[in-house]
Amino acid sequence: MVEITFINTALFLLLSVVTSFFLNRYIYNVFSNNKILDPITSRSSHKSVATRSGGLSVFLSICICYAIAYSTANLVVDPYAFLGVMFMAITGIADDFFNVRYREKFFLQIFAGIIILQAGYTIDSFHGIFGIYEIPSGLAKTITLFVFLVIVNALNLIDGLDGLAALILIKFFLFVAGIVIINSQEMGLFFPISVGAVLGFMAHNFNSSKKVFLGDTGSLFLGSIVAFFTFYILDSSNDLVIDSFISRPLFCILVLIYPLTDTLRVILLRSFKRQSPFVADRIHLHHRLVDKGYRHWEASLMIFILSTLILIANLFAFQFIGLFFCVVLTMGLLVLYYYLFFK
Amino acid sequence: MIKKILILFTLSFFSYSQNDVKGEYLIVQNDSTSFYTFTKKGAYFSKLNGSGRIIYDYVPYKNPVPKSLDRISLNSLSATRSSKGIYFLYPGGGIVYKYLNSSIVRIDDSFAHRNQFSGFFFSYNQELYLLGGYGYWATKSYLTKFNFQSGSWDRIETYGSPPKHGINQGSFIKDGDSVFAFDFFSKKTGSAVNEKNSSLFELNLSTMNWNKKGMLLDFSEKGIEEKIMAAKIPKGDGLIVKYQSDDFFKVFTPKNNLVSTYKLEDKIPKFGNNAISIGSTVVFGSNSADKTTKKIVTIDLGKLNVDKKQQMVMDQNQMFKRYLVFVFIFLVLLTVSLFTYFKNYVTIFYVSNNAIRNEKGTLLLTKDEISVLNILINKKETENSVLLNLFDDKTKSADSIIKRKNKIIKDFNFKFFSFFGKELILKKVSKRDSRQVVYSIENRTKLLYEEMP
Repeated sequence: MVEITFINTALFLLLSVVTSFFLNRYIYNVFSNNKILDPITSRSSHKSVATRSGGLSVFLSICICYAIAYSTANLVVDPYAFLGVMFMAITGIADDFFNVRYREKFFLQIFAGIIILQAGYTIDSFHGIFGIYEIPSGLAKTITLFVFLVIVNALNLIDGLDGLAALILIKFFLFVAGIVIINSQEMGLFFPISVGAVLGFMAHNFNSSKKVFLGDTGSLFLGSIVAFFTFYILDSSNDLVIDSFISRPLFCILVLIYPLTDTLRVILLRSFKRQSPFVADRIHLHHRLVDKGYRHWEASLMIFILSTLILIANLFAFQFIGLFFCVVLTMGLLVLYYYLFFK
Repeated sequence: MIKKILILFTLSFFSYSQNDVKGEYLIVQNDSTSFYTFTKKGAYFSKLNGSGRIIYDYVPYKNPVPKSLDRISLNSLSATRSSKGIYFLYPGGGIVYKYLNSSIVRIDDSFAHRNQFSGFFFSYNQELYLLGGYGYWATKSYLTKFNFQSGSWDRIETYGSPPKHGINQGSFIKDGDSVFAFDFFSKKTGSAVNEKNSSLFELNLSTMNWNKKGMLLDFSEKGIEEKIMAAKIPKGDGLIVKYQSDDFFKVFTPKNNLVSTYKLEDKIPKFGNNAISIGSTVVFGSNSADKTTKKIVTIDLGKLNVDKKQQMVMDQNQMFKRYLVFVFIFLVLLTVSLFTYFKNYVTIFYVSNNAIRNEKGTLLLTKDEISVLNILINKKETENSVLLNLFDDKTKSADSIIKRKNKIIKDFNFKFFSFFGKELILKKVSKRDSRQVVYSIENRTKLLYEEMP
């Protein structure tokens, strides 16, 4: 196996950025020439031509770079995880083109989740949360599937501002990369490839005149990758370096704090109003920031910085104050952020 | 020829003792110069002299060995020495023996637990402990302590991060207050697969806290069958590990984070688990020519050349800390780059027939304001006279027209600034004629006509 070095990490990052950048441009042109445009509705924040080709471009970029890394640097990803993620990407493509109904999409997500479970990584332990450690296999698989649905849909739901989903994904990949690479180098190159693909997409996502969105392809594809690595971290058979720094479940929540809290808040508010939790509206926290006058990039960057600060604060504090007080600290910071920036 | 000379040279490092040991036996270290070779009939007390030769004395047992030992081979016992004496543990744990008054006597009031096969039996502060092991289809990482009063074993609570799924066929090193465990196998509940663990763990016996020290850099991929047959011989603060198929052995010293590899020639007798080390000398049994007896043999490692020295573990914690610094720098650079990019970014506004807007919102405009924007749009500079023409009214004086134009632009800029946080229309002195003023759209702003789908 080729060892992960700074040089090959940087090379694959660069390769991925370039591939993604040009693929995004090319596929945008193909979509706009064929009038496959994102419809402008009353909820849309864009009024110019925009396509939902970002997800497809990111997907293809990752596939191309993965193929190169597989043949040159022996990058290995579990075949079931690969299959499940591919299935999610295809579901996303179908959704972007033909608008798959929510119930059908939900069923397909469950199916993809079951495939990814075959990779052997499950949330088989609560790692001491509520004093619970190992849980029975059946329960572990059910919880894993539930978490898969939550993560995939949460990422889908926060994909409402330019750069927001991309920045959250970059943060996730960067923090998780260190943990996975230190444990097993065989999946190591996947991270620079993913970060590069998202960076290449971000340049087009922030473009005002030729805007590209992730679409369902991107959020489902990248969401399922995020879910897979979450299971990898939470699977108790992996001895991970993160155990010396912070509780694994707390880390996983913190690295995805914005999608999870926003989704929970939105579902609670909609349920309180006796609406379907899946109805589309503008009550997300990021919409609040935009309504307060922040531009998209400002709102995205603010959410990215604030959520990263919570994670870093917990990484520093956990050794000194333990799990309970870290949860208290996180709740406190969330309330503080809400009153300072979102209210 | 060179190989033959090397073999002869290496063979000169061995010393063969005179004591032929019949039947099964167990070698146990006594102190820094002596050791016991226990058989079922008696014990050899052997001493290494200065030249590496073994001087021995045979002492038959006063009483026969306990009946529970009849069924098993002596070398399947685990042995440890404390200041109180030499203790033996029955395979799988439970039954404890002591070498006392030239006899092996049973001192427990327990039973054969069969719960911690291949666990690490050691003494600490005159107490006996058993760590990890395999039994009843599961691997364990827990620690049990022998209670000399009750004669039974008690489980000791440990803290920190122990190996999650237990330790089977591990390599252990006891060094001061610490026990190191590495190169072991774990089996998840319900799984039939023995998964090899690539990490080094430390259990601090004074605090009973587990700590994962890092990932082994020199990680053996050999399976559990080979590990069972491998020799694991404590050597001071380290451990000698030799797999039967290898023509070399390694000395692991976690305290110094060091692995030393010693290459062996083919002619050297194979040593198994039933071996000890005294100083730099390894003591083990070697078959006689007719294989009916064993000779106790020594190798002086001090005379062997170290083939390779390397780090034992990668300090994962340190590595992850360094990685976090890298991530922090990357994120700061990303944030600063985005911030700089957008601060210098050309903001696009879309102008329709009654409003101007961008992602921040829509500002309704008057007819006059729209007319002004229509003139300024897509032009680098617009002369004052062009704008005045827009408000030309034969019934009004020139002064009135100028004031009206100025008021409309000023009000528009104020309205625009209040809404979007920036001025849109700039007034400058013309470069061609310093008496004239020109109007332009702010540099980092671009106006586009609304493009409706």
